[in-house]
Amino acid sequence: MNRWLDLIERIDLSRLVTGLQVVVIAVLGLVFVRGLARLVTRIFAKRLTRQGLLIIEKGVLYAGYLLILITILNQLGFQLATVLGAAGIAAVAIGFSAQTSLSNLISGLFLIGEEPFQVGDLITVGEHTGLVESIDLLSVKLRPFDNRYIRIPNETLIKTPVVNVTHFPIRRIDLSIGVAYKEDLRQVMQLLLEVADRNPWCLDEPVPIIIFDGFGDSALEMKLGVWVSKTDVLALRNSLLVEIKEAFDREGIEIPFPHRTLYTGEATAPFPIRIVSDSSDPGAAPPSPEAGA
Amino acid sequence: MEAWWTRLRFEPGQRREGDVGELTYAIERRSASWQFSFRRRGESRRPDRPQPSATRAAADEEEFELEFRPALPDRPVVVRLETPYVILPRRDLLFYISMPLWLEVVTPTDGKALASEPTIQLSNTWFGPPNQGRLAYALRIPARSRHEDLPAEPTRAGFPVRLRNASEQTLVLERLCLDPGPLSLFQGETRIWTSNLGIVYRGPDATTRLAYGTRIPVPDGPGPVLREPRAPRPSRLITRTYEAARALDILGP
Repeated sequence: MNRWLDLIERIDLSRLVTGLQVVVIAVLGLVFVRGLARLVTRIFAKRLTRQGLLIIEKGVLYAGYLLILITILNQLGFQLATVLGAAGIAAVAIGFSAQTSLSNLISGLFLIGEEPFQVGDLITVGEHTGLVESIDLLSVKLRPFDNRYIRIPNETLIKTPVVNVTHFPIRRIDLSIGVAYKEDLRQVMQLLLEVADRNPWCLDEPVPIIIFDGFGDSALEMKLGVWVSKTDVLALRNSLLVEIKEAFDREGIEIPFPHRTLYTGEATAPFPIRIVSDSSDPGAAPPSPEAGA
Repeated sequence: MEAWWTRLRFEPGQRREGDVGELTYAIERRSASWQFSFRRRGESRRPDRPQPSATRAAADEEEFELEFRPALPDRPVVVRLETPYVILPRRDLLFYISMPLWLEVVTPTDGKALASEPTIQLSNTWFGPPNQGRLAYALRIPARSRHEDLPAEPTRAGFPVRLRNASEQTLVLERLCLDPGPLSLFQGETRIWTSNLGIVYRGPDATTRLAYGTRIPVPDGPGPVLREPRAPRPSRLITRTYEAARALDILGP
């Protein structure tokens, strides 16, 4: 009993009360701020985009955390002016030592303000293509199609060209197609337009276009440009290529491919070739195994 | 006209197959569920198209009946006129559109749709500039000025539209984008009809007024209502015109 009384005597009750107040402020403050952020998000859910909601949620959270910190410091007896002065000096020091982070932070603010893409968009940055998972103050998180996690610093996004693949609701897909020199180009073009017309994912308008690319090494090269809703790109690409191949096969239109001639050089003897049967004679016996070279 | 909208009774474990237009359906009553699969003729074995996958819906123990019901497209449609029409100020134009129908399978007890499939494969199209506009279905049959010229198929409905040019300018109309959501379906003597639509065009920058009717507007017999509208009738819509007022989007921005 005496030991307990000694302990209580040694404890500074005012400090204990302050400590308890700080814990209560921190716990209740965090719960309140998170609840407030959730409430605000729910209120604006139907009016704002996902990115707008993300910005509002983070704005409420960061402002709330700052308020909690200031209240706790005030409770602990720190003078706010002194703290802010110290924070200014600290900011200069941090600014020198954390230039990259600050650059990312400021770039993040520009990105949020400019809105070149939103959460859920498909973007290409350098060699990375993926869906935007989140836009944070320091970095943007991408999820490529193979479900990896890519973090791109905001500074990089400001400095490098960013392609927003899904910015507009429809896209044009260009398919490169080559046909043999012997083919009738007008017939090929007409057939391609008919194939595009029958494909349900290919938009009727804007109308598909055919661009003649030129005389290639082994084919007459052209591009078929068809418009598609941004959600149907893969379905269109896969189905249209199959349908074009089927239509060409049906009409006997040849899709040529480069041929390679092997030359054995002067130092070696040429490949021996021996004709064993006339291929036009359906009744001819198949070549015997020893007939080959 | 052969009515395909009907009520079907199933025995436990029974499977029914049939055609509605281009659509082939197979419905099976399993122990505690309905199983549906649909495919369009000629598409079933295409490797590039998704194979018909069965969908299932939970069924009540005593639920052994289903009802087939016609429905209108679930997205706006873009229709061209046979030729561009010049509509002078204060003149009307009456035309008829052939609307493809959806097969909706509903529970007779509460009318809830368990499955919905287009009976005719429709192609997508875009209405408006590439950076703004709307995704719609393209109707391949142009609007006609006589309803007798529309194909009389049981999987299509006649849609009468009367357009009045109330502006002071001549309207040259090539195509329209229309939302079939607020339209009802009626059974006529010769075909299915939608309720009629009146459009009062008041100029490219003014609000276009719409009047959705509630009855069959042609002398085709007083038919029963087959389907109530998918969406409520709008009270006010904004007009957008594209390509120098040749394309009229009555759905608004």
